[in-house]
Amino acid sequence: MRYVIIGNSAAAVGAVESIRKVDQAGQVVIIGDEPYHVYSRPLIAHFLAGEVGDDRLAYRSADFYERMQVQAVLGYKATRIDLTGQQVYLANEKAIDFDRLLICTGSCVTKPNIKGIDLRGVTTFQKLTDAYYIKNQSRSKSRRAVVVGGGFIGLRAAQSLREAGIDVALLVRSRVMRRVLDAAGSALVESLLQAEGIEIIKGRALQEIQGQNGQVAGIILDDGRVEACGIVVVATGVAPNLDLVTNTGVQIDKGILVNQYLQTTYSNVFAAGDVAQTYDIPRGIGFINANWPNAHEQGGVAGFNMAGARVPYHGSIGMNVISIGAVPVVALGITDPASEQQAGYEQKTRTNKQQNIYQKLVFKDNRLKGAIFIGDLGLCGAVKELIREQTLVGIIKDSILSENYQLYGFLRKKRQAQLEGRSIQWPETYVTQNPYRKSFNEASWTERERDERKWSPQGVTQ
Amino acid sequence: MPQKQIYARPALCTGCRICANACSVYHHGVANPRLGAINIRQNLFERYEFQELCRHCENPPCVNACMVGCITKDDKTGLVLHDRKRCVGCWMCVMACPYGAVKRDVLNKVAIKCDQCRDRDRPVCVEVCPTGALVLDLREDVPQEPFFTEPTIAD
Repeated sequence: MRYVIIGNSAAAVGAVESIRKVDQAGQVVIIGDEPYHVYSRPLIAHFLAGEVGDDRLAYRSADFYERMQVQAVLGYKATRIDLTGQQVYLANEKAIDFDRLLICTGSCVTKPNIKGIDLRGVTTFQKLTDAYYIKNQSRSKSRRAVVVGGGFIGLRAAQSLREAGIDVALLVRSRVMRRVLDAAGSALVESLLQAEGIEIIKGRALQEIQGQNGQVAGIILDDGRVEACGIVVVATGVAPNLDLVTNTGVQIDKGILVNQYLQTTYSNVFAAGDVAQTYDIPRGIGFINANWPNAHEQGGVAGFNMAGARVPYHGSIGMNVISIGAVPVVALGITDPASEQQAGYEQKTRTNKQQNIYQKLVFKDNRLKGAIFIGDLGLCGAVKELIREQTLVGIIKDSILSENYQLYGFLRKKRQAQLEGRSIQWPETYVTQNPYRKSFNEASWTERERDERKWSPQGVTQ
Repeated sequence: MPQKQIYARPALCTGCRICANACSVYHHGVANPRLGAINIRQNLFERYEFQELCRHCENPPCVNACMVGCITKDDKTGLVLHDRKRCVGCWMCVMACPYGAVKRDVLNKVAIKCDQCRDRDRPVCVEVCPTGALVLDLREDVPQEPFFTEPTIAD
């Protein structure tokens, strides 16, 4: 059996590890377009900030490929797939045969088509080369940078540049982390970023990048304002790399469509990671949840299925975590019902302005659909699990954020059932029985209640 | 192979947090229950308990989540181990763990995770537990829940 994996990041590593658990004999080939050993993409932000050196970027140890008996073809981009001939063509026109193919080509930032986008100093922030590039630019040139886009990557880039001692302006169209936080959470994150010394320009879009001798000199906003800077980091949303599979017969929506075994239209071709459109548990539809944990998990499941073990993938949820200063921010699933198409969401929040705490839960049909934890992480892991399993949590709606005994009891009971291998039929909702409600129906009173009623003060409406 | 787990027998646990202190002293050299990898939230008055400790899962979510690759599942011993030297404190694992077993060391920006004291015969928390509530055994053998009463459904 010959396994070929296109891509060399989280999903690929997950797949290799799973394949080797099932099949020790088959050949595994990894095709990566970057010439580096597998490294951690999110870590480049820490690398740019100077927290870690480039010796600590490795995601797996240096002997990973030898240990797993993987033939790594690094530095060559896969340009074409021949699905009927079962071959992958590389940039150097070499062909690699496969029996099982995994596509985990990830996603890339779509650069806007504006004037000056090709100048020196304009870069994305996704790969190790980008980090090296920004590090060189910031060392030699300007002490001011503009980050375009207030998403996860944009925020990480802005923070890292700030920690590296560069003045940073963050240009956001509407608000920070629009996709994963609600308005109140965004506002808190913005104030935290400003406290870190990051300037935020809100409500403006990028019109043009000015250059001088081929080097960035500044940007022009859509209201005509000019901001001088030496580095422009473009982080305006990512799109999956679908070039390889377009017009090959593999079905594509926003990403590559996969079934629950992560198979694409062709049963020997699998997809995982940022490029795959998997089942999103809280939304109940196909969705791309592009993040590291999902990619590794999907890669692992795809690896098992490629090697012949039938392991279903239950779905992904959006989960993001970022630290701003000392304040951790966790966003899970659907956090902003206002931006969803469906209605009927219910929210519960807990706020403490002094301590920078903002917590929010989003319910629908007595099931958790999403959560935000800023400042106080609480039991975010348990909440993530409740979202993932779509447990009926109607009876503990009020207890989750207050973390009282009912929540602990619920979790305990769930765990016990899980250990014993049985499922619990949770009641939909839990309404506290009001003892006074009975008092309106005098026929149902007991003798003692009638007595108590007689001695209660007159004119008090219960 | 089933994995040995540390767990607390709720009927014996008093919620004294000596286990967390001992863990912190053994691993970090300071007595600070917040630095311990074990935390049994036991409240005898309100009658609840919640065990925040590592189960060394079969399919650990923290290993999937760790973006640095410093959390690994050891195939030989079955332990889920965390490399403090490589950890950068991104809190991915904290978010991923459904049992709240991974803690945050905010000052050093690293995660705190149980390694079952693999250089010792028995974990320190199990050794110091004054009531013998903590045990290291094959399965988390939880007896019938005595505290939580079934919520009633409104008619």
